[in-house]
Amino acid sequence: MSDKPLLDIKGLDVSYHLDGDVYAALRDIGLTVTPGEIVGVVGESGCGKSTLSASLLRLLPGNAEIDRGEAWLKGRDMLRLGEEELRRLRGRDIAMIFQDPMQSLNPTFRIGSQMAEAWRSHQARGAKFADFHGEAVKALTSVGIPDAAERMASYPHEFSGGMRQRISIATALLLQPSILVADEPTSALDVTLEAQILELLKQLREDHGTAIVYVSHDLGTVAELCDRVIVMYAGRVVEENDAAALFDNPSHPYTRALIDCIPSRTRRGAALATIPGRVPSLSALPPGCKFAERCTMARGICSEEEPGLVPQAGGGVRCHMFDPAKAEAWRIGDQAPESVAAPPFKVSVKEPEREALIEVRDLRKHFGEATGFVGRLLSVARPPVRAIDGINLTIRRGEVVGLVGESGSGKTTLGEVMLRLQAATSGGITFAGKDLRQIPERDFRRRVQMIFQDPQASLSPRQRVAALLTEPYRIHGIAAEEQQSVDALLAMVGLSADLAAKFPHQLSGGQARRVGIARALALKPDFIVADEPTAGLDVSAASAILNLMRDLQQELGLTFLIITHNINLIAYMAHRIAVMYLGQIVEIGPTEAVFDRPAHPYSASLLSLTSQIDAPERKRGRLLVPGEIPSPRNPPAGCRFHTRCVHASERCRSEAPTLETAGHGHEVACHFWRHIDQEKS
Amino acid sequence: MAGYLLKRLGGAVVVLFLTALLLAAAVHLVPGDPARAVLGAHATPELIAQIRIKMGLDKPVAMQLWDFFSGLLRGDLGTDFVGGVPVTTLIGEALADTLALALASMILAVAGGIPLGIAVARRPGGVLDRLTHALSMVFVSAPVYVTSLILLLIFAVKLRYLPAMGAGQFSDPINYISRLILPATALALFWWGYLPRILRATMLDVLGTQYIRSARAFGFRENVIFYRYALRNAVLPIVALFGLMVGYSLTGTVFAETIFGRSGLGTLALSAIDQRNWPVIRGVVFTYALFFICANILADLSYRVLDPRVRLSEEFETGV
Repeated sequence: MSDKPLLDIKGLDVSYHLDGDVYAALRDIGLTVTPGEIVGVVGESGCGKSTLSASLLRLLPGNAEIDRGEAWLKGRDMLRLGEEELRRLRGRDIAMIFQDPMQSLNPTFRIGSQMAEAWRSHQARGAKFADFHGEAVKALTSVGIPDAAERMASYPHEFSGGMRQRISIATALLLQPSILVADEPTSALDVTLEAQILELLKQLREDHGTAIVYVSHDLGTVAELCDRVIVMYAGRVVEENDAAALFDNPSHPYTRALIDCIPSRTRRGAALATIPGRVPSLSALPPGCKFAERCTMARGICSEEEPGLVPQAGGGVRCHMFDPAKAEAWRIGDQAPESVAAPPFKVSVKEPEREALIEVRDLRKHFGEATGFVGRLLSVARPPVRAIDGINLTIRRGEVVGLVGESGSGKTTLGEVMLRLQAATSGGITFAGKDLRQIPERDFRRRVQMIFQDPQASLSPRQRVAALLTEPYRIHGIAAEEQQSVDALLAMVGLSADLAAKFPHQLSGGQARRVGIARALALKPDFIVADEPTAGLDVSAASAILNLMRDLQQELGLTFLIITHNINLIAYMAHRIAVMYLGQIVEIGPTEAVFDRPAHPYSASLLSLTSQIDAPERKRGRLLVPGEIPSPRNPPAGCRFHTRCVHASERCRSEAPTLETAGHGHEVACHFWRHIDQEKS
Repeated sequence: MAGYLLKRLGGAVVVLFLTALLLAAAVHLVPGDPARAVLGAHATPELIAQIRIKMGLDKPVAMQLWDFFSGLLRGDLGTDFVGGVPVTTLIGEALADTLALALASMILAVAGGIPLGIAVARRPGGVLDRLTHALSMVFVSAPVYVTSLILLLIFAVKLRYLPAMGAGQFSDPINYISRLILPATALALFWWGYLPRILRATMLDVLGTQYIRSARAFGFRENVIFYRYALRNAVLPIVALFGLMVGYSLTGTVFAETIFGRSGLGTLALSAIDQRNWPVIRGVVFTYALFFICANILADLSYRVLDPRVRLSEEFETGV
C-alpha cells in the first residue's frame, strides 16, 4: 500500500444547518485511499459515516456546508471544482452505491436505459450506442445477471433487491471508476445475498483494481472485506488501523467496546459489553474527548482537552490514554469494560423443563387460497403462497428457540400463526396441554405476547409511555392490586421513571424496544415471540437489549421464540435453533450441536456466511449459496432447497426429504446429510 | 392488460346502468306531476291526460323503465316534449361546442399549469414560488361563475379584446377560437392554481429520492435528472387527476356557457330543467356520465402505460 493515494482527504469539516442550529457532522477528517485498497468506515449511527461517504463525492444535501478541508482526487481538489467538473468526476472516477437497492434505481425507466444514461453522461458526443450495448451486457453478465441482453429491457421492480444491487454495481463497472464508495450496500439484504455482493466487490477489486470505501455498521463484514478500517465517533476519526490489527487489538476504548458488544457463539454464557449513554448531539458537543462520558477509562483530562490523533503502526488513535511506547502495558484489555464484571451467565444453569409449553403439528398457512365457487373459478391457474407448509415444532417451558432463515422463508408468519394473530390454514396448535381452539382468545392473549420488529411503529404515537404500559391491564381488566406499577415495569427493563411521561417519538430506538418489552411483560406471559428484537439498533443498544432479554428469561423463566436473520444472536441466546427454508424446517437441534455439525447444506452455508468478528473465526471457508430463494407460490418439487444445493441429485429433485434424527434432539431434512457429513470430516 | 380493460369496461357498464336507472326513475322521484309541470298550472285535465300518454306516464313504471332501456340500447334517448325533436339530435348539436370548450380549457390548464409547476420546482422558495403560492389560493377558491364574470368584464366589456357572447361557427375558425378563449380560461384558472402546487410537491419529493441521488452519484447531467428522470415520476400523480379534470370541465361548462351565452350541453340542460323536459335532462346527464367514466378509464390506462410498477401489480391481481 505504498502507492500514491488516489483519494486524499485532509482536515475536512462539514456542518449541517437546521433551524438555526449548527451540527458539527464532520471535524478534521483525514482519509487516504490507495489504488485497489478496500477501506472500511465503521461507527454507530449519528457518527458521520454517511456524511463522510457523501462528502467523498461532494453529494451533500442542501443544508450541509463544507467549512474547511481538501479532497484530492487524481491531482484535483474536489472541494474547489465547479459543478460541471464535479459531475464529470462522479461516476467515472469515483462512483457510489447505496444502502437500499430497492430505491436506488428509477422505477419508471428500464434498467438498460438507466445504464445508457450513465454511459452518455461520460462519453464524448457521438459515442456509438452499439458500443454501449456490448459493454452493458458484459457488465451485467459479470455481476451475475442472467440473460443480460434481454433483462436490459426490464424495469427495476422486476428484479429482487439483491439483483438491483448487482445492477448498481454493473453501472459502476460500465464507467470503470477508480474508487467505488459503498454505503451499507448489504444492510438491506439477507446473509446469503450479502455474501454474494461481498464476493462481487472483492472480484471488482481483483479484476479492475478498483479501490473501495466500504461504509457499514456491521463490523463482521468489515472485518472480512477490508484492508484498513477507520472508526468514527461523533464526526471524528477516533481510530485508524489495518483491519486485522484493529479487530485483534483495538487501541481506542470505543473500538474495543463496539467489538465487545457483538453477540457470538464464543460469547455465549457471558454478558455482552454495552456502551452506556448515547452518541452526543452534534449541535451540543462536549469539550474534550467526545467519547469521554461513555468511556470506562476516562480521566480528568479526557473531558477537558480534545485528544489529537496519536500515530500507531497502521494509522492513528485519538485517545489521551493511548501510549504507543507502552503499547503492551496499558492495553485496555487489562481493564475490562464494566458490564463484563456482572455475574457470568450460563445457558446451562437453568435447563428448560421437559414439559412442552407450545406444540404445533403439521401447521400450514397458505395465503391467497381460493375460497368460494367464484374464487376457485377465477384462480384456476393461480396457486396460493405457501408461507408455512407443514411445520412441527415443540417449545418447552423456559426454553429459548431461535428461528432463522432468509426473508421469504415464512419465519414471521410462523410466529404470528403460533400466537393466533393469523389463522392457520390447517394443522393443530397445543398450548400448555390444551388444544388452542379450546382456549378462549382472551385467556390465550394474556399468556402470550409478541415483541414486534419495529418498536416505534408498534407503539401508539398518541399515548404516553405510562398509558402504553398499563394498556394491557385495562384491556384485560386486571385488578389494581395485581398490576405492576409503571415505575416497576420501567425499572424491570432498565429505564428511568421519568420516561413515563414521554411519547414514543421522543424515545430512542433502544428505549422504544425496551418499552415494547415492558409492555409484553406487563401481563407476565408464559410465551413470547420476539421478531427481530435487535433489528435497526446500533450494536451497543442491541447488546443491551440482548442482555436484558437474557436476564429476564433467567429470572422469570420465560419461554422465547426468537425470529431473526442474525445468526450470531441465536448462537449467543438460544437453547435450540430451527432453520427454515420455504415454509419448512430443514434442520432443528440444540444450538451447540447445530453449530458444531450443521447437517443440512443450507444451515451449513448460513452458518458459514455469518460474519464473525473473532480472529479464529474470521478467515474460515464460506459456503456461498447460489441464486435466490424461490417464490413460495411455486416451491420446487422434491427437496425445496435442491435448486440452490451443490449436493443435489436426481432423488432430491423428485422426493421430498422428511426430518430424521441426526443426533440427540437434532433433526435434519436432507437425503444425503450422512454422506455430506462424511465428506466434510 | 386485456383482462384489466375488460374488468374496467364491465365496471363502467354497471355504473352506466345504475345511472340510467336513476335517471329513468327520477321522473317519479321528483315531487309533482311531470305532465302538469310541463304544461303549467292552467292546463286542462284533457290536455294533461294527452301529454301523459305522450310522455308514456300512463304505462306501468316497469314498462316505462323497459322503454327507456330498450331505447338506450338502440341509441334512442326519446323525444323532446317541447319541440318534438329526438334528444340525440339535440345532444349531437350541443355536444360539439361543449367538447370544444372542455377540451380547450384542459389544454390551457395543462399548457399553463405544468410549465408553471416545473418553473416553481426549479427554484423552490424563489419569487415565482411565493407568487404562485399566493395566487393559487385565489384561483383554486374562486368559483367558475365568478372568474367567468370577471374575465368577461375585463377582456370583453372593458378592453373589448375578445367577443363577449355566443359560440360562433366552426366554419369561421378564427372567430370560433376567439370566442373560446375567455370561457376556456375561466375554466382553466382553477388548474393554474392547483397543478403547479401539486407538481411542485411531487417534484420536490422525487428530487429527494434515493434514485435521484444515485443518478447524481453516477454523474448524470442535471438537466437529464430534472427533466427526464424526476419529471416523469412527478407527473404520474397528475395523470391520475385527468379523470377529475374532465369532470370539473364538464360541470364547469354549465356556468361558462350560461354566462358567455354559448350553446352547448350546459345551456341545453339548463333550459330542459326549466321546462321539466325529462327526456332531454336524462339524455344530457347520461352523456355527462358517459364522458366522465370514459375519462377515468383513460386516465387509469395512461397511468398504467407510464408507470411500469402498476402494470405488474395489476398482473398480480388478475393472475395473468
